Amino acid sequence: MLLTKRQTLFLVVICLLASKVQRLPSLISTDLGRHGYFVFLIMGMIDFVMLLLCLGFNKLAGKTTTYELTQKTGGAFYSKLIFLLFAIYFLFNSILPYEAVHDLFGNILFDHLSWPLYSVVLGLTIFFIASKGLKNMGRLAEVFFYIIVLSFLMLLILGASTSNLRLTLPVCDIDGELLVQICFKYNIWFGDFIIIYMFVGKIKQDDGSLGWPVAVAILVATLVLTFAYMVFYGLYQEISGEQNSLISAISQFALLGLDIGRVDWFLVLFFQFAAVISSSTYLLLASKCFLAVFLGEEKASDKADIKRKKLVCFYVVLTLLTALIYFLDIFIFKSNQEGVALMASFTKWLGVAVVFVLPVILLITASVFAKKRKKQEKNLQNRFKNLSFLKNSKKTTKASVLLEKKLRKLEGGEK
Amino acid sequence: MPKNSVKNEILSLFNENADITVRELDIQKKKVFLFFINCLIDSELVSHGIVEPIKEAENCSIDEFEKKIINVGNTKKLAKQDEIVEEVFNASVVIAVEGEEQYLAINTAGFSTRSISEPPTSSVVRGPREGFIEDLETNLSLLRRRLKTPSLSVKRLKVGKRTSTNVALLYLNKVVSPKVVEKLEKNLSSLDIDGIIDSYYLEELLEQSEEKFFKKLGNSEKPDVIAARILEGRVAIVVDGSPIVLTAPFVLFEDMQSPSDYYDIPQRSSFVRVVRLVGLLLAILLPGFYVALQSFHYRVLPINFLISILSSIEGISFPPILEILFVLFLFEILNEASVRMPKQLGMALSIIGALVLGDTAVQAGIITPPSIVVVAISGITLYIIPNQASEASLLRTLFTIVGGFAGFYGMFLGFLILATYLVSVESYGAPYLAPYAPSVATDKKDGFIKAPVGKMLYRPKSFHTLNSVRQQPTNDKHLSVKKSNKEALLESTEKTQNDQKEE
Repeated sequence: MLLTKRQTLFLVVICLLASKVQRLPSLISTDLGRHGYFVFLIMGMIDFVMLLLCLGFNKLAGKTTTYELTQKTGGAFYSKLIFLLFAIYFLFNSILPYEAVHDLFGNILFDHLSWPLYSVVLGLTIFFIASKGLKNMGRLAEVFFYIIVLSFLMLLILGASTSNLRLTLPVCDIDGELLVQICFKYNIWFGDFIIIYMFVGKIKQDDGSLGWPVAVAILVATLVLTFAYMVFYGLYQEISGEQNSLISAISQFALLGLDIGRVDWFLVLFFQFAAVISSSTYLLLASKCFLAVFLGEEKASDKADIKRKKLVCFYVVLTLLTALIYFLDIFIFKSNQEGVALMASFTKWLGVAVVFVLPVILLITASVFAKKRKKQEKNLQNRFKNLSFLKNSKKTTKASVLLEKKLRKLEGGEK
Repeated sequence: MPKNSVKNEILSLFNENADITVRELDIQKKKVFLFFINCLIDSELVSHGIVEPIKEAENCSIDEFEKKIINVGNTKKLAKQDEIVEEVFNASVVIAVEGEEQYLAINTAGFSTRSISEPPTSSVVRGPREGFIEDLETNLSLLRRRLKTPSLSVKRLKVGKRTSTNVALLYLNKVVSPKVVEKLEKNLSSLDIDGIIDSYYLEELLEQSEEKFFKKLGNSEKPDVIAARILEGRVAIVVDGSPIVLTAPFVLFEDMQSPSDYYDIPQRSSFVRVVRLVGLLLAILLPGFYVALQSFHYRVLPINFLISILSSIEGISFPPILEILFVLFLFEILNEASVRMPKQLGMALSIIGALVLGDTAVQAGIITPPSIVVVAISGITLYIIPNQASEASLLRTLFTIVGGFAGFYGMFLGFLILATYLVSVESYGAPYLAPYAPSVATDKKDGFIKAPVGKMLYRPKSFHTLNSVRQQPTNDKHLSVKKSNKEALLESTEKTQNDQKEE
């Protein structure tokens, strides 16, 4: 078991916040203007519904991992196909926060920064963090979670103090068709709950529940993000599309009268921890998915030489993906606006497939798997009716021990 | 057996060392030899407790000596000659009787040791003032006096081929994780080194990974601290010749705790712990932060402050990074000199260092007043957690360089890399950043916000102890223990009782 429920929740929230409040609001405001917050509201609600499917999958899977479950139910090709989709999706999701860090440091905090050179350091950092694995990623999320959330809330409060929220009204003249189009266009920025599929079967069954805290977190985050967009638009109105990033622009006017400099930039800096952690998480998950596609999932039962081989392959994949992200950032995102627009147009169908379609398919797969497992258990119990007698009797035979082990494994969903 | 052959055989083991003393006695027509090193033994004890009774003995045999004659308590029979060397070097008198193939070792240690005093690195306003000294037995007695329980196990080992240093492992049986004891024993017995001069040697050698930057073992000079750590489920490693006792497992937060925290009101202790964290961060990040601000991010500063800084740096020909590195270097030199300089010259050094050098360098335009202030703050806060001063000092220089080359960007990524590294480190199975990463709710009661002693019901879970219950809640209403906690407590108590019954 790699992650606790608390760590899972923190990672989901960090990934959820990381890239939505950077470039995205500015892009949406260019297309939708003052009604842009509806995109956050609608996509947030869709995420919430899809999350319920994901949690249902998690419950049915028990201790079985997503890869194992799909492989047992639909075969190796089926599981590899799903993991390939996940891998590409996570790879693109890793680029979004990476680009946000690029934008903040390369264009806002520094006057002149040779980004192709300095981006190498960022690339090495996300490689280093991702190489430490899921367990340490969870711990890192615990270290920075409160710093990130508090910084964001403080920036939002600072922004709200100078924003005119009435400028986001009225709502009745909204163009519904355009709204749907924009939701579709920028869907890759949403659906962060998908990472939970990669944690299924690896979460400690400790105290507390995973379901409702994640669901509440997504609902609260949706409302907060919607409010953040309203504050942002209330501040910049028609020129909000010109702003590079919501997070660095939202508190700009709040501290002017105090003459204490741009101390809010420290909060922006603290928030960027979310971007790097999120980028590293997605990079790690993408690497794991590619590895699963080519070599199958890592298992505790793997022999030492197979484990070593998979570890070497993991580092190779991680290096290649980091290099890919670096070059995409340097060449595609040379101009942030164009780069992000290009990416949005390229990934919109991928987003639909992974966020809207896959959860439904996976839930069906999980219910088939659960039924199969139940049937197997029943068959096994019928074949050995004397099991209860053997279990109760003080004399344990080798057969009864083996049988009990097999049943326990089946109950736990282990292979 | 030829005359004096025993004597010669044994003497040959010592390579004819000049400091070996041999006392020859004729008892009942048999020769008795006493081997010892004069400077290590208590001569009066040897004279009254060993020599005089032997002279009056009616029977001359090792058994007779051990059971009836010798008036000293700590005796040990030796079957092999090889063991004699070790015993003699451990301040024992070894008796050999002509014609017998066994020997008797009697511990008569009488060398002078430092008296017990308050350790200079961890003095307290309130609380015990005793500190460990360089003698193992005295140190063990200091711990035994505090832990009067049969479950306190002491395992003795010898480490070092030439020094044969006595090392003792102390832990609470049925409390400590057996894996930790096993690992420590295995690591200690696998050491193949000439000698252990101080416990620091072991601190480095017992680290499990190749990486040696952050220490993986805790240490203290105070018996009350070590006793408390043993009670928490740690293993203490006492090394002969060292006043520093090591403990394992270690978590970084241990260094944020001070003995005085436990002898003060919890609110004050909590406040001081937060101050220590802020101090540590200031020590590491402040110079780099100042360099980054001056080099790249001056817009962050308030305009009035910026003007005053700009006016003070006017005429300085060095870039901020070189200036701060120079002041840091100067600080390190003064620090090193002040530690090693005779006390009488300390005042003169302060005057030269602070007044003459500092003031003149500012006037000469080599350094600026803000940079001195920054390094002074960093220098003071560096010693707010003395156990981490070495690591913090190096990190400070590293962050200064990073801040000078890459501004906030470099410091931001550097801090993230440091945090990632720290969360991945483990010390004998305990996560380095516990109880915060991973979060352990019960362990946080002795965290930044320190709970009253009555509320610390469990031992730290990060150490995977066999018995996690530290104390029973005395008054439910007063302690306001959560239901789930109570249940866990009852379960754990029952489990412990069952274990004890089984045993």
